[in-house]
Amino acid sequence: MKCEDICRLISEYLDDGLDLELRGIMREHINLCERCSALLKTMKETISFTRRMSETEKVPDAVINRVYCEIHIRYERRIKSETFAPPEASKYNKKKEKRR
Amino acid sequence: MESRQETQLVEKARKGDIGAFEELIRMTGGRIYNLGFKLLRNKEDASDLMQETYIKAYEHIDSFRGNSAFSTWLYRIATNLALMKMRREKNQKVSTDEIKEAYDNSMVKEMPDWTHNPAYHFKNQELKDLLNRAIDSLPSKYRSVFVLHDMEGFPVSEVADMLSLSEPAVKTRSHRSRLFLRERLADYFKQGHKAQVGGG
Repeated sequence: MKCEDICRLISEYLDDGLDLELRGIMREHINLCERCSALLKTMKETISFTRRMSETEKVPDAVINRVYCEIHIRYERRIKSETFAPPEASKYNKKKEKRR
Repeated sequence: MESRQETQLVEKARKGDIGAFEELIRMTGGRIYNLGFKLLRNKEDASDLMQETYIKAYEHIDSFRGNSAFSTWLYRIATNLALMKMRREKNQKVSTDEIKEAYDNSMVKEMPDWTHNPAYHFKNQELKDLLNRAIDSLPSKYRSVFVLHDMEGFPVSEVADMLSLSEPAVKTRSHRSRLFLRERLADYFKQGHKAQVGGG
């Protein structure tokens, strides 16, 4: 296995996406190769650093209220259209078309 | 995995129970807002994205088949809306070629192991800003994969499903994004930050 292969497969290695045999071969190479060992460590740290820094923002109450409000507007619209729509409209139109 | 409570609320919401839909917003809103913040990189756009996501979910709740968790379905809606916005604005600062270049560089260039560099441990805020800018500059197709897979922790298969991509495509984009960000960090340490280390 060459360094280029390690570089190509390193993400899958970190994601546990490789079979045990291939992992073993990679591990052997990494243990003996300073360059690939540095690649593994720095990739691992890059991922864990971005995970650590992805703090959770609290949703502002005003945003939640705005979403509720928009949903209520649509709910009211739906209720209105269900209440005032002529239930037999389609039948009526079909009859009208036939008469023509 | 979808909780029983979530399933029951979705069922009620489908039958027109607005209270149940509000409860679903309360349960999932934080995650959707944060996803929007990570993808679009500012609070205002994250708020708009959250609103658009729930409006779309409310209007199409009948098409939710329950094959995945309701929250995954919401993630899919939010990610697609965010991608549309990112594509419209095309605000990425680096090109896809630069991402590929980072990949090629990793094959040929030797990069030092900076994990033992004290600056890595002490200059947290500076590094955080640097990484934020780097994530910010990723083209949308890379950023969406990186955020979902590495920041939100979704497995490759789910990211592929959410973005309608093949699993190999997700793996490639994730790998290239990681190498690109790693290269940015390596550049930071190369540009003389070793000298500042002693001062902490």
